[in-house]
Amino acid sequence: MSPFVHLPNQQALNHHTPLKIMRFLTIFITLTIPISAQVYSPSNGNGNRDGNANGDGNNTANGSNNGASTTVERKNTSASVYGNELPFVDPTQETITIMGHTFGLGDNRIGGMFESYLADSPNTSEDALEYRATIDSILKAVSPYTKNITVSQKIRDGFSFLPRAASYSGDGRICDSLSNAIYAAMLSKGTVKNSKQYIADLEKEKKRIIAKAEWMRRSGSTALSSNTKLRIGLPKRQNGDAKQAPLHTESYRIQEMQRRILEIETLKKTHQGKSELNMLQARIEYQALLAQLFIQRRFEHVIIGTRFYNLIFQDGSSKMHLKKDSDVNKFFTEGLGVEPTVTGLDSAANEAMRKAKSLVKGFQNHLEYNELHSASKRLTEAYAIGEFLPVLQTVPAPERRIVLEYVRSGNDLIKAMDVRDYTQAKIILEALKKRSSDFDSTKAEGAIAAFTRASNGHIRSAQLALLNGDQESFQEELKKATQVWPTNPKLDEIDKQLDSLLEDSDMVKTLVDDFDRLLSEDNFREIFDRRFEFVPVVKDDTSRKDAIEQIVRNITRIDGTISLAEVSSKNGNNFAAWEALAELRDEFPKDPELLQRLEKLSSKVADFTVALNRAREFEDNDLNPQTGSALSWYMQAKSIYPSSEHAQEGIDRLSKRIMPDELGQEPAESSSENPFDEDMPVK
Amino acid sequence: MPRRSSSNSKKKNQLALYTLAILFAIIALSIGKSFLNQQAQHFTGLNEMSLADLKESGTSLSGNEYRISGEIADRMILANNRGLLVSIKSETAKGEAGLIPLHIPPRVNQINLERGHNYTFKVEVNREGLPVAQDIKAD
Repeated sequence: MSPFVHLPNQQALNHHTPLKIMRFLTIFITLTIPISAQVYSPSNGNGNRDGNANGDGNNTANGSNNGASTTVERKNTSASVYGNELPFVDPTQETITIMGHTFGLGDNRIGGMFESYLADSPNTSEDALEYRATIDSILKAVSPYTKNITVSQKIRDGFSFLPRAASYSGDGRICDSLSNAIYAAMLSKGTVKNSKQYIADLEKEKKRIIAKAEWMRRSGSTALSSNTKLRIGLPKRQNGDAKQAPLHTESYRIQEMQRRILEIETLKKTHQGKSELNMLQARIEYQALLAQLFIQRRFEHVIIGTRFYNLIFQDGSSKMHLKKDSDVNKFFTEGLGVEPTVTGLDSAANEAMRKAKSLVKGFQNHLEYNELHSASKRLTEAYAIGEFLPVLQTVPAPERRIVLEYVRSGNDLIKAMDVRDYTQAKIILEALKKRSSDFDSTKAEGAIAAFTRASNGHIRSAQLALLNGDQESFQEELKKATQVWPTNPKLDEIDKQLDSLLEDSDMVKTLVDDFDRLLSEDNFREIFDRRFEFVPVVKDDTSRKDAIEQIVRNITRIDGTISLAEVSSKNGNNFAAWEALAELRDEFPKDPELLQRLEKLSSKVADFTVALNRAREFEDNDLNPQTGSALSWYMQAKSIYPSSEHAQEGIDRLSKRIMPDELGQEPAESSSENPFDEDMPVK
Repeated sequence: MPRRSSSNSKKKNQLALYTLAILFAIIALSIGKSFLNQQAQHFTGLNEMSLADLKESGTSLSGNEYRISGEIADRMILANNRGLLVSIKSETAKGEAGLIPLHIPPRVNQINLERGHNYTFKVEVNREGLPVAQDIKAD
């Protein structure tokens, strides 16, 4: 969350001026920071992070945000010192890249830091106040506007405050790091100073040797050896005119002096190179620290560092030695179109601090009018610019709490949308609309409407496919519906339908099994009682259908007869009731209801039934026909119940056995052709 | 006193006389009735058919002749000129009461048999235990 921004299409600025820096910062903040954690940004509705678009209009509500706002994580392989370590905010993708990882601005790891800030108490402790006073003192001590103090004194004054500032925990020992950098720079500067002195000494020695050699040339080699009064560096009138003196180039001493001069010259050049290198190295290290502090959004420290830099390196060169194509370098070259300088860094830090103050003020204004959405955006922007700035650290706790609750709701909305729980998303959305007067719900509502409609459409298609028995289409549509809206309540309806079908399938099998079992047990009554269960499931089975139809028909008949018998019994005619049921007994000897009713009636018509039973026994005795005994019992039965059909039928049957005349004589031929030639009672 | 005694004794004698006369009359009536009954009952040479035996096993009576007296409870003309089948409501001397089936072949059916009227039948039990009328006397 650094103010470094990657704007590939932005035209480079031509001049490095404070006005342009301000404009630049304004542009990048406007473009990047508003996409803060609490702002709803619906993800791609198809939810396929592998890019499997379902083509059902899921992108209609997303606009240019392709679902990368919340969970984007991309690993970059660059490991340059000033490469991907710098955070880059990409407004087109609403992402931020830190240490080679790319996150959505709504990502919890970013949002979590902001939420942590919101939940924290304002930093107004005594230590914090003292720390800020110390920082102000340092800035004042090294300020270029502080007059009547020498540069070295400024450095000493400012430097003396740094340990005190570093002792505060919130400083993160950055002032210590700054102290070390300043000390190292000063040492380098001292080394260079010593080196310059040494070079000056060498130069002095060289000049002395040259003068001596000149004198020797003028006086000759012998004179050089004999004239002990000659002193190098004395006026020419005392040592003679060297130009007039003959040159003795062959002299060993002259040659030795020439060699020494060359050595000195070489030594001087070497030290000069080393000095320059040391200074460059010191600058680079110092600038690296400044860049690092800038990245860390420690803008106050950046300003302190740049002021110290200007005091330490007073040669006027503030050009930063950055690796070409590095992010920091791009910030200046591509963003501003100028070479990166320490002064530019100082200006950018100042502008960031001013912008943070402005955003916090805007946040408070929005809060006053219950414009929570804008307020949270402003605070997030300010936080993204400089979370360590005093203006951010001193935001009152109640104001933070309001934004925190709003941001949490916003994050909940994002999570709900991310997992495609549109039911919950809608609830949260309504709550957000009520809470904030400026919450723009159109995007989220559009997304919810689009996705829910798409999911419901797939469900309808699935249901149609289910009705048509098209299992393949059903599965496909169901899959699409689930992808679009996994928690769609209508999916539960589909599940219930499927469960019902499965249960029905099981039930059909169970019913058929039950039917077969009951049929094998001749438990027709049970089949009859459950006929409304069995009939639908055996309707396509001819044999079972015929069986159940017959059972229903017969039992209906039996029950009808039982009903009639009950009526007769109630009228006191138990014999008629018994006879009606007994007639059915021969046809349905296993019907429990019929047998039970007969048994119940038998006790009431015992004499009658005994007579009939005995008659039947004698009648059926084929081995020893007892026509007389059988007729005797039938007649007795008829005497008990004169209307007895059973008795009359028995008599009729037996009468046919009676021979026409003499005992044992065969009965006459039945004149079957005469329909009136039947046994008949005579009244 | 003696007159009074004579009168009382006379009255006593008269009472005894009347009593004896009544007794004689009763005895005479009983004897007469018995005689008359004796005279009215037909086929007295035959035993009454046992209703219990007929009900338990008619074939056990097969070939025997019996007398059946009683009221005709029901009658049925048998087809093919096989005579009548009647049921006789009978009460034997043993106190057995019930309906007895009786086949009256055409050759025997010489008189009008009406329901509710009493008749006495001479029967023979056929091989299936069914009494077959041999002769009929109206009572």
